[in-house]
Amino acid sequence: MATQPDYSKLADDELVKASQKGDMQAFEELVARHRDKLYARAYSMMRNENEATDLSQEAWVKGWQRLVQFQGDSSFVTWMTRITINLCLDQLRKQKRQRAESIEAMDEESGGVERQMPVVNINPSEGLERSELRKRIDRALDQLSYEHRTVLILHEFEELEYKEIAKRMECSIGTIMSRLFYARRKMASLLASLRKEELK
Amino acid sequence: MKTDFELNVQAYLDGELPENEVKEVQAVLAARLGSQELLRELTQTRDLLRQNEPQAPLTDSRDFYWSQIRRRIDAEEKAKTAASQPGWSFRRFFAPLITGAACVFALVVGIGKFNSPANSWSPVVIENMSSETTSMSFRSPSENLFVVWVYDRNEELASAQSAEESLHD
Repeated sequence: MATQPDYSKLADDELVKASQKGDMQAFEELVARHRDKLYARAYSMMRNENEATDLSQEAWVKGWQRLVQFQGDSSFVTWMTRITINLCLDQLRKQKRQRAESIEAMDEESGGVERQMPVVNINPSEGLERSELRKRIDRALDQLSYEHRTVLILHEFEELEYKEIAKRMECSIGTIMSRLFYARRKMASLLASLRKEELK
Repeated sequence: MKTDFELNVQAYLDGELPENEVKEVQAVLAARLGSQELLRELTQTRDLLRQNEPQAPLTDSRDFYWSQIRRRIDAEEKAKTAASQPGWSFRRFFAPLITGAACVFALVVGIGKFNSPANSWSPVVIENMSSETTSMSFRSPSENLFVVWVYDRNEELASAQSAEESLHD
């Protein structure tokens, strides 16, 4: 009689192979292992807990349906993260169509305020717990428009190249470079001002 | 141009600057203090973000989160199975057409009977030619009113089934 494998002890690639054969319990183990990362990526892009939960779950459903297409060119979690990012980008595009352009986006089109921003020396990590620093970064990210935040996330956290980001966001490399430049300068300014406020 | 140069400084930092432009940017960086400061700021921001990605813990329990995914997978597989059944696409595309035709037919027959001066109290016969639809009528001679509801029989069955399933859940 075949014994039930201990899924928690299997490596990702073994679980993927079992899932590709239709083993739902193996897939459940993959979900349990990587759900936090996928949710965190969706949350970083959507800035809304319900949407992040919904889209990360949708990504898992798509992952299950397309599992046969997974060839192992990248790690499973990278592959799943790409699915999540694409779903988030689709959702953000839908939302963008439904609302007016943000002031930041208008600034970018008209030459951008980032050119006039003075260069700052950001050192918010000084004397800060890592968790507090992460919270500050999160608050600063919250203040960016979704276009700038998305470019920053894809470049700094997903470490995608300009060309790849441009493809995913359906715009030119020049636009990506400009958005990334603005986003970094704005983040530097926001993080420096948070430090200044604290020192007051 | 200043703007292009700033973007080139960034591309230099990210390792995305074409090789033939690297030396040019390095030369300007060596000569201009402002450019060096800009590069420092961009580098600090990049490193700070890469080393401190914000965390967003998922509050749902493992079982609850998985159960929602499982439900969606099952629902989509059920829909896919239904879609692959023979005659599904025929029903999908022609059911609205048949429903519309049945509706018009029922109205024409009904109104014709209703307006008949010879026998204003005669019962109205509604003939439904479609197996996909069903109908229900209401007549009020005092209000000079005649209404026919035509609806999809499959949808009615499906909603009854789902109501039954939710009772079992």
